[in-house]
Amino acid sequence: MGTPLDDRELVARAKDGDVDAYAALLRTHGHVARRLAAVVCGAGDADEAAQDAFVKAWYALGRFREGSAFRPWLLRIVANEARNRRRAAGRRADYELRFAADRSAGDGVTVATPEAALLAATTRDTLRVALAGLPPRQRDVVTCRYLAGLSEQETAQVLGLARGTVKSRAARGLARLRADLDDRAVGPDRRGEGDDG
Amino acid sequence: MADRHDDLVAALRDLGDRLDLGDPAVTPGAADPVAAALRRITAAAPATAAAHTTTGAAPPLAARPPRRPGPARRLVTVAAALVLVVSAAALALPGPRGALARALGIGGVRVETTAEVPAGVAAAYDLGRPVTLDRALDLAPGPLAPAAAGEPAGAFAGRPAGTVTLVWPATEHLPEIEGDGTDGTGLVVTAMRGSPERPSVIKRAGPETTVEAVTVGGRPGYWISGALHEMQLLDPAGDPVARGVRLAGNTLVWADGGTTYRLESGLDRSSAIELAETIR
Repeated sequence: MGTPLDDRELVARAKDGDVDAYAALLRTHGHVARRLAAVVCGAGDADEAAQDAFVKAWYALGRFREGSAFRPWLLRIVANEARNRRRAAGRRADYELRFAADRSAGDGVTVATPEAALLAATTRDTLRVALAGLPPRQRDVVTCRYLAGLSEQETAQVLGLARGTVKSRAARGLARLRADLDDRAVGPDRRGEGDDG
Repeated sequence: MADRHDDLVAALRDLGDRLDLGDPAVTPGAADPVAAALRRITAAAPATAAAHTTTGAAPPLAARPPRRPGPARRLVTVAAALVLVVSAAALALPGPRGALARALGIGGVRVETTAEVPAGVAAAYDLGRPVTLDRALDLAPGPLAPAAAGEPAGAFAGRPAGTVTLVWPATEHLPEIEGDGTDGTGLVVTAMRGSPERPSVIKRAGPETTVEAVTVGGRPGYWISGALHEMQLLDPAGDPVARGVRLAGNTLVWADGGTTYRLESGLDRSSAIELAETIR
């Protein structure tokens, strides 16, 4: 990860047209940006959304406010692009996430036994279905926070929400997921605690 | 509370770690969006830009379209800036009429837009959060949508409260706003609450940008055109009406009943005024 100081210097160079500097910024922040695109618009359009957002961000660098953080600025453009694609797909496309673990051994995640692996996969699958069933506003917050790994503040910036809204939507989303999982009797067993939404 | 959901959060984080991002090393044939974006950027630039990425030669300033100047050039721009504070009491000059009625079919066929929100517009124009059209019309301080433009593709609400923006994509009759960093934006209309009877405009721009006093439906306003520029509206106390000095295309600004309107488009002056006058 680059430090903020590195980012500032790279952004200054990129604003002057240095493609290498911009490439370095994308190498630092590209992974989380791709994760974000994937969780916002689903797997199908994520790479194209990220690619278009990276190009647009380059052309918008002239409007980047000096002294602010580059990562949330970039991620906001990515999220907007991903949401536009989701909107364009409309009702003809279901929200779908793809996971490497579905097709191969997980990314460095070790599982003790075949039974544990099966249980974990079943839980993941149920969680994925439950996520797809969340209202999009709650799902955006939950997936940005926990699947894409953004901070509460970054989530607020990226989605254009107040921080309190992020907090409340995350709480409602988690409660709803909990209730859904409990209904399916799979996953973390915390039945009865999820109705504060 | 989130801490009651620690196990659920852990399960979600695990799910996130397992997201398949199409890593070419894992998924043969998967595209790397970073590499693909960089290819597009260098392909759009002159040969010197591509050379720069491999040789470390001087930065290719021509690698991008017209935009707000970078820090170094902005200093020069500011040093040479023409700063105008224009009162709406200045002479109001009605613009010629007629072109838009044909272009947008006023009184006849109404332009229908069904396209999606132009990509990148919210970030490029710093519009705030997306809202439904109904919500935007509820929040707006006054009528907002020009009837002649048809249905907007997107609506946004920003700060300060009461600032609402509608966006239309470029169409045959709404030329694209050039150089704004978005993908095909044709029209951006913003309404701001609490604005003065007579707005003032500070424009910081070189001599290639012009400000003209105009009237919009009998109300005082300004037509700002020419090169891309920075603009800030001020209230009677001299305080900014909306946050941020920002890039603007050809811009029409006017006040009506305590609401300040800003209409940005690729239209010429008379067409923009005629379009503005269909807001009711």
